[in-house]
Amino acid sequence: MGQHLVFDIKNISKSFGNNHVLKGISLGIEKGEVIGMIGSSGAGKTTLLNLLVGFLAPEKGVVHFTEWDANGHPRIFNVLKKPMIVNKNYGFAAQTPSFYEKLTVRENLEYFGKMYNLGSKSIRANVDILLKLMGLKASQYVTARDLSGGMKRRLDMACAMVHNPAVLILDEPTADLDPVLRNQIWEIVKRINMRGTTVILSSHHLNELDSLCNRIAILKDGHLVDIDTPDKLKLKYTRMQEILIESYPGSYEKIIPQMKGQDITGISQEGTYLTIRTEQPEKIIRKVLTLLERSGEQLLDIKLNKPNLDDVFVTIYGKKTKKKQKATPAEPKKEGDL
Amino acid sequence: MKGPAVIAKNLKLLFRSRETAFTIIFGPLLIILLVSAAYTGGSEDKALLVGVYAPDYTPLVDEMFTALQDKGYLVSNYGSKEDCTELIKTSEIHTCVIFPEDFELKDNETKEVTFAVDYSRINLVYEIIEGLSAEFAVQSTELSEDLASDVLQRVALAQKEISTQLQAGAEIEQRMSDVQENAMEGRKRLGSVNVNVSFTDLKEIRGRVTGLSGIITEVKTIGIDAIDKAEETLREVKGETENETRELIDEVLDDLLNKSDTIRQVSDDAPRAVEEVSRLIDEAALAISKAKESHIKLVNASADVEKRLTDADKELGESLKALTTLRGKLGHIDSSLRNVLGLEASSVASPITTKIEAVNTEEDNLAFTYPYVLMLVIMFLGFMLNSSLIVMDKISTAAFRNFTTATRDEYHILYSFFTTFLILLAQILVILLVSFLFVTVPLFSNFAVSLVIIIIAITLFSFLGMLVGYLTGTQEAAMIASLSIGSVLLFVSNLVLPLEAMNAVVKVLSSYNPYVVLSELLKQSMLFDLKLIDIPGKMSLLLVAIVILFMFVIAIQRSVKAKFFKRRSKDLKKTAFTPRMKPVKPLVIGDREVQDLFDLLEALDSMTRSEFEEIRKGGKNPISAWVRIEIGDKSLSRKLKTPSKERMILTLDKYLKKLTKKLQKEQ
Repeated sequence: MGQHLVFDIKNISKSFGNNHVLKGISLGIEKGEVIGMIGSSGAGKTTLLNLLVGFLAPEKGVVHFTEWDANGHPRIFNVLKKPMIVNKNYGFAAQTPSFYEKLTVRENLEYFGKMYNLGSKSIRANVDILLKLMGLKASQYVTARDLSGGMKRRLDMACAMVHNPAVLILDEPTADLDPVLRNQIWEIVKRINMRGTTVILSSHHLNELDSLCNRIAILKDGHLVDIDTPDKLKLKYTRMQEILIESYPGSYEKIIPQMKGQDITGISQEGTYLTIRTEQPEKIIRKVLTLLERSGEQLLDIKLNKPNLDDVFVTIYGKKTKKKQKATPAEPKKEGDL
Repeated sequence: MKGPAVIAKNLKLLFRSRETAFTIIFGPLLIILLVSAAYTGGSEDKALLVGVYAPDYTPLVDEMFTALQDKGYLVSNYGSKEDCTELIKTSEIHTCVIFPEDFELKDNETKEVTFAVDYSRINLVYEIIEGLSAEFAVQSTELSEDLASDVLQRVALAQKEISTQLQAGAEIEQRMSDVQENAMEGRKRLGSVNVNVSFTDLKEIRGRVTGLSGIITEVKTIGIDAIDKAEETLREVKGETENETRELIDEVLDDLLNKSDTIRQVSDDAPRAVEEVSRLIDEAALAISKAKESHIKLVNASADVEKRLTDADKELGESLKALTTLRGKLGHIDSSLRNVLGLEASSVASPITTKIEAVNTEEDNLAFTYPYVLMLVIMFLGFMLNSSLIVMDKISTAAFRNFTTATRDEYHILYSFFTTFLILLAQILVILLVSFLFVTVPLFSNFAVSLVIIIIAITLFSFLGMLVGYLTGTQEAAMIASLSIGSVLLFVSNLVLPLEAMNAVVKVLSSYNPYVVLSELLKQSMLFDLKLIDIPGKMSLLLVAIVILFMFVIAIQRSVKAKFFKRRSKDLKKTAFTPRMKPVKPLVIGDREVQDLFDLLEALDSMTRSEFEEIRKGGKNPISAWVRIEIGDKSLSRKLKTPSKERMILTLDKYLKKLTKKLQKEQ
């Protein structure tokens, strides 16, 4: 790290009125890495992404972009002073897809390819690759407005990628998408990154960034709290694990009082599950199993959720909250099943 | 009651959009203001350019000329009718007033003044006709009054003369009566006189007749002697001559003897005749004596008659003289009255008539009007097409990507321009071709120059349309604004209402109206073979205007782009405000994740009652709990502890409105 920066952000600050969104953030983004930006809504993720490419001008600080030529020689530009050079080096997929609804998928890609001064051959080649990469080949002649939500998102990413940018910036690329579509998008991002493209993204689906990002930057109240690999962040910020137990008939009210105070940071009943948070899961599991047996409960299911980025997030934001306030029947856990 | 709600919503939408509010409220006001300004305050100064041609510059022509100048028209003289009328075609003058030869006010003669006008300027024609005809009518009325006054003067004079001559006539009548009486008396007297009397002295005649008897005897003697001598001579000659001659002499001698016998017989009868003549003379002398007596009487009567006739002659001479004078006078009156009677009523009432003459034929009218119509099409198409395209691009979801590609703003503008330029050019060429087939307009006579003007027009109106597009937020607003601006340009042109009738300020402004300038140029190109080198000033002005407009468009496009990102910033501001709510974990309601309070309001709004009841099953209120825990607002959480979905929505809406206002204040 530190050898091949594409973006070098130095001490930037940005306010909207009296609201200081970013406060003295410095950050270097390496060539070829996937970097995730996480933070609560309004933490400054989108603002930071917009500052990166010069859509917004910082009140303080500067953002430099480094263009690497074929021989590996760098050319460094202030993003605000050389917008055209910067523009051709990045692709930006914002939260709202940006393309012409009345053009077909292919027409959109070809049009934006032209806007990046590509030749017809390059455009054709790039479009064909992207259609395949994004899984839009079958829909290439479909008018964009007739695409599904996921396809629109993919088309938007394809439009952002049509000129083979060195950097792809994705602002909440999976917002409003169902889990299946989200997985598709992440797959595509991985493939794009494998082509050597630097990817900068922000998302609320923190755990999905875990396996995707080389590094994750955590923003809080306009500050860059930390930036590191997901594993290191998890190690740094939490060892808390969550045990979920389901038994029959599920009368946890007798067990809960007996468990309190024993290396447990939280215990509660959520639906048919008994949820326990602890830093010593092995010890607690043994104890809870004993108590269940004594109470005549028949064990149906037991799961262990290991620390993840959500926990890191919660730790950083100083909140010991439940995983989710569920208004509907609980969503099945995907990770950490025992 | 859905109706009022829908109307209220529509009104809110219209008035909350700055563009439509401007167009709806200020657009009509602007048009009315412009039109009012155009037609008030400047009516005195018509500034009609009037050409005048008169074969003879008579005092009346000069008078008319001055009257036109006094009226405020800009009047110029021209050497020929053709020079004058040609300038109408090129709009250098508005009308040509053609006076007839020897334009003067004469008795019983109506003079016709011709106004040559360009009927393609149909709006102006009536202005000219009204303006100039009114002026001529005033002149005509003045002349009419002069004529009527003259007639009255003449009649008055005639009446006076007749009165005078009536007295003279009476005197003449008296004199003639006296003459008649005298003449009758003379005739009577002369009738009694025998004038058949010889006045010869018959005594002398009788003496001479008596002497004549002696003379006759003497003549007889001499004649007989002469005949005898001749007989003797001839007899001597006869003896000496040959037979043939003798015969001839014998014939002569016989003749002489006959003559001698005749003479002797006549001379023998003469005394009787003389005696008879004497007797007759005596009788004549007696008759003459009687005649002398009669003659004396006749001489006496004749002297009397002569005297009377001399008097009558004198009287008649004087009467004749008086009658000559009377005749002269009456002749003069007769002549005057004859002139008066011979006058046409129309020539007294309207001694000058006017005639409107078109300098162009009906076909020419179309040819003259066609450039204006074509330019109208270019203007409106340019406005609407460009503004529409720009707005379409601006409000498209693709706007963000367009703004962030590696294509400069200027190129985006130029590419948009070329798009509409091609469409417009194609449309205009199709229109020209169709017109060429069905309309007798010399469209292609000076096509190169016309094409240049059309291209300039398309460019100019396209950039204006782009400006409209960038300054409006919706296609509807762009369309309304385009139509409004186009209408204003149209109003302040010559096509609908004559510029010459407008306020001076508006007239000056209209000279910079691109529609007016380009229409005129196109007309001159199509009809009068305009050369571009003839109008370097106008061409330069138009090109400069295009460059300035292009720069304006770039500046406004950049401003729009800046606003676009600023608007994104506003979204960011809204987002930036949310940390205080701290929605760390989304609330899952059905199949949607609620990220913040705005999402929650939206979710509640779209939720059915049964879905809401499902959420609150078992008396729980996960929404209130989520707000307390995730958003961290206990007060709001308490307010949301309600079993009513509607109350919950109202509470949230109120809360968020307060937040928004607070945010706006902070900004």
